[in-house]
Amino acid sequence: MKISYLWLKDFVAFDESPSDIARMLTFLGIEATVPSAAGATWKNVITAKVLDVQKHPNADKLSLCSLTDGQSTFSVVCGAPNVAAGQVVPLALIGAELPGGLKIGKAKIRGVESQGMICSERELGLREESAGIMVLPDSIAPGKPLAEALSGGDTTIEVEIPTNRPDALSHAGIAREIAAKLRKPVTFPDTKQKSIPADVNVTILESELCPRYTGAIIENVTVAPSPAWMAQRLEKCGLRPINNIVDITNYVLLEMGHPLHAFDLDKLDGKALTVRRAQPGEKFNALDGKEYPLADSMLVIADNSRAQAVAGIIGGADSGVSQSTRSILLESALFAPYSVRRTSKTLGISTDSSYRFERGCSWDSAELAGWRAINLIEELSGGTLRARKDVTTKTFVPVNITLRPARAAHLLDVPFTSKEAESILSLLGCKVTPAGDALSVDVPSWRLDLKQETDLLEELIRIKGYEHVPTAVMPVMPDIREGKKAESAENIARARLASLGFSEAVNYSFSEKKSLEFFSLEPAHLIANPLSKENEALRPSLLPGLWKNFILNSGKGNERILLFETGTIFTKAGERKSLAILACGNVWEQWWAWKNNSAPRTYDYYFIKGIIESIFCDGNKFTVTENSAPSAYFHPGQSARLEANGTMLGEFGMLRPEYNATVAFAEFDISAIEQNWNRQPPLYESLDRFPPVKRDLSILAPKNIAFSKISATVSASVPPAKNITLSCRLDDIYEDDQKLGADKRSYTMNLTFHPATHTLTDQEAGQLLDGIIADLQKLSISLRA
Amino acid sequence: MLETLIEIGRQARHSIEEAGDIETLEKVRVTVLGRKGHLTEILRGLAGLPIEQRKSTGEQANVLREELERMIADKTATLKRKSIGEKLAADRIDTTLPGFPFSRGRFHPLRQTLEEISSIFVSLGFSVAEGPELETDWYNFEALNIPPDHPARDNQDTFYLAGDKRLLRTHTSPVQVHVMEKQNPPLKVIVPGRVFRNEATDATHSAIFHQVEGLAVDERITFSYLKGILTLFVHRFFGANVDLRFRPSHFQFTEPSAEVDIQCTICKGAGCRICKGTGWLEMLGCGMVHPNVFKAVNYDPEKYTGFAFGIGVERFAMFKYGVDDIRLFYENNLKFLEQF
Repeated sequence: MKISYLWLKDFVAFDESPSDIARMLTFLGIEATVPSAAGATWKNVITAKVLDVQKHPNADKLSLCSLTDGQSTFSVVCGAPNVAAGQVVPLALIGAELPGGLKIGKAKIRGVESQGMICSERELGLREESAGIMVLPDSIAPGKPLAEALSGGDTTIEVEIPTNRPDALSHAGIAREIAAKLRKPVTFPDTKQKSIPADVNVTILESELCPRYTGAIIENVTVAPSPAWMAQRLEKCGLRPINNIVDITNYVLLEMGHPLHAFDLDKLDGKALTVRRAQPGEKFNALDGKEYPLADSMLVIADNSRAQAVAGIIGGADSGVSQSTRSILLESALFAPYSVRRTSKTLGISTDSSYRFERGCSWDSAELAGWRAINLIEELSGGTLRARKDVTTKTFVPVNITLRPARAAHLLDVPFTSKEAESILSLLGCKVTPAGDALSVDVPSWRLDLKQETDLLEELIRIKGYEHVPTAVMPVMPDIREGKKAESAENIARARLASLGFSEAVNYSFSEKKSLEFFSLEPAHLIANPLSKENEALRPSLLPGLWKNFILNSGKGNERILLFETGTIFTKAGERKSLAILACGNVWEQWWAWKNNSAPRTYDYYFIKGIIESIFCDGNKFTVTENSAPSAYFHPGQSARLEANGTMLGEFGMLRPEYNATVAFAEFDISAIEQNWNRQPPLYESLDRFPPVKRDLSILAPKNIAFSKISATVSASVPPAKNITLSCRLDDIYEDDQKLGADKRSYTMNLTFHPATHTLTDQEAGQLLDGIIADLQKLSISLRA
Repeated sequence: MLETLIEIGRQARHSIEEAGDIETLEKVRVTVLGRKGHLTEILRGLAGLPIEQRKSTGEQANVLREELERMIADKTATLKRKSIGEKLAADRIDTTLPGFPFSRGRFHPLRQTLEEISSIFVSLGFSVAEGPELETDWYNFEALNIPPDHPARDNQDTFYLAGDKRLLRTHTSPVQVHVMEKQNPPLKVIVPGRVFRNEATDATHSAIFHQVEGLAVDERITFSYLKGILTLFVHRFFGANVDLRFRPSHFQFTEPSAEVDIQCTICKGAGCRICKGTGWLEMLGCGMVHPNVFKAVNYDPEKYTGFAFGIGVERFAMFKYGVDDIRLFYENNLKFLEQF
């Protein structure tokens, strides 16, 4: 909201500069700034009146203007088509410097000397864009420095009022804050209240939605432009002057914060107003020129035939004040905030009036603002108050709060005496009476935010200043009820991935439906009110986000893309934390020393498997098993799942060839991993006391037997009772259709027996090996010749 | 006999000196000192000699043997040194060729910032809690003293689920309520997490961002403790010489509420484009827990007081790393990620 610095001085006397006031308000909880005045750089820019406009002798599109500052005459070349005799315009004289750095010197334009430049708003730094020169109001006299002419010696202060402080949405409200801070009295405009017949036809049918409605009839008004002082103040605050009646309602709104509305009495059917709900299907022609469909949840002010205003939001086109208006019915009312808010949202109309009503207006201001406007209308439009009616549907009971000043020390660590508390609260408009050790505080009707003791404590420290609160060090008492928190599996996995060269991604939680379809993924949740397609669904997997990152990085020429992400995904079963890995490209960076290495250099299934085993299987009883039903995007023959005791923890493998990139992907349920993570410290296993015995085993196996079956058979072959552990390392795989047969594959394994209790003899080792071979033969696996 | 010894000695010395490698030297040793070596045979034949001759020849033969053994040992050492030197020379590589390019992955700068913030509070005795991202209206708004139709809801444009009453939480504050429902005071907890606002994304706004919420409740928690803990935190994060200030603000769930500004990290308070000439940066919101929030979780507001604060992780990360566009955090360009 824009406020006028000089206007504030109507209510409280102070010498502080505009920027001092802005700072003071900021430290009272009302963020305020003085917009950096573009005028600071308008040296030698004055107001001037255009006397005459001639065509430039040598250029079609230029004109030669003659201007005066009241004393001298200047001849200036101008290129704007909108220049005309009689206008008051900003004129940059020779020696002027404009915000963009443009310096005005003597210049000849197409052979004609120009003694300055008529400026546009863009050239003055007032707007980004402007068409033609700036034309000032006629009320501005020529020959004044432009900055002074535009400001009228006043300064605009921009303020942001918190939602709980509708009382501060006015000059009087802001002045009250300043007065309290300066401990000075505040004086508000005198309202002359007359006793007058209540001969106004106003009926409230919805007492809940409209607790108070005052209507005043003022006759014989002359609708005319407002006086300059009022027009200037409105403009200072960003409002366009319209006519005296409308301007007065706006002026009182800005002054006292209470919205008013003036109806043209003669346009009201039956000269009567009813506060009622809209009828289903009722239509309303608003002042903004649009037609709105109304619903019966909406409150309207209607005459005998139709709605003439949407309560507290906008007036009707038919009963608005116009040049021909002779009598007005002035509304000053109270409407239920939630109702105004809902209607405003439904209709998509937000006005200065609805903004205030939905935050809450004051019982007293409804009356005072009405009188203030009546006084001004009588004074400025020649009208006469003929009748006034104040309809109330409830009795106003001021909020009373018991304040224990000792509680301030308890909550804030700042002591307040009763006297200091009383002084501050009184300045804010409260009625304070002692009640034992406490104070009984009657809250003024405009302070809707003061409901309980803590609200008053905030007022005390807000006015006194937060700088008075000490900075105290709280005793550090670590919460050890739950014991030392183990490092999360998530963080262990993240650290291991980073050490393997993977960088961490953070993606949005949303997905486009189209990108989900690409991976045959179904969203579990759609957003009801997305701003764009990007926000239309919640991600059911981390894949679409990582895929987007892959495409971006691949487009930037990265040949190796290693990413992981942990984040919440949203599935039909609920939201859960997920961890995903995406790998593409060379396992190792290109390096000069790679010669005839036969190892694959790009990420394939076995690399991602190795990564997953190194991250998750070390120290945990997690196993990689075949995946009978992988997610649709996985290569069915090159993917697997990670399990713990039969619980699926996630799946991984290569994406299908249709994605046209050799990409390895993995995604895991973090909470399932957390639950199954081995938290036991490892138990020390004694180092080999007896020498290990090594044997190599070459076998010929049918291709359709999975290697895991072979290795499990080998491991299970040594009875536990023997106290010998067997480790088995796959050394070589060999296929040869001619020599071995197309359905056979040969494996060479290095077996190592680690005896725990005695030295193994050759004979024992031979027996163990024979046992293994016998077990393998049951699977039609033979020794390779 | 003596002549023979002298001749053996002369030839042996010569051969030892001439030997160019270990193998040749070994042959020399075998020829002279081996089982059938010339000198060995003389020593073996001593028994058949007359007594005086045996004595003098024996002495001289033994002197010669010791001399030759010493010479061979010395020569062996010399040859070994020479052979290792040759091997070293032959194995010399260009050590200036590039080393193996092991790659190093990076943690995301937002996660690094979030963890730095969390670790400071953990060191100050706070425990860590998390909560759901899909919330009910009660936890996100009502329990936090934001009733339906309250204008404060305008500040938090909300994403609602289609066909579901839930919404995406607009702040981490609902976790305050979850924690207090489960646990009785005293408590000191922080809540790191992701939050959602239904607003257009630009260089400084994101529909998704991260917060670290803080909450402390006990019988004697004061505003001065809040100032103390946040001052410690800001000094640990930005440096002990960074000034900060508290000014009144409004949040529905705290009373009194405060906004914390820190001295601009770019211009050190002189005023610049980043701080809009004020010399201060708005960093976080905080306040004393509103009694209505305590009532919503059945805490006695007469007995307990508490403070709460909310830190915007993106904002801290932007100032920490000098990132000027919030969207960079969510693009995951490796050229960006690998800088952290």
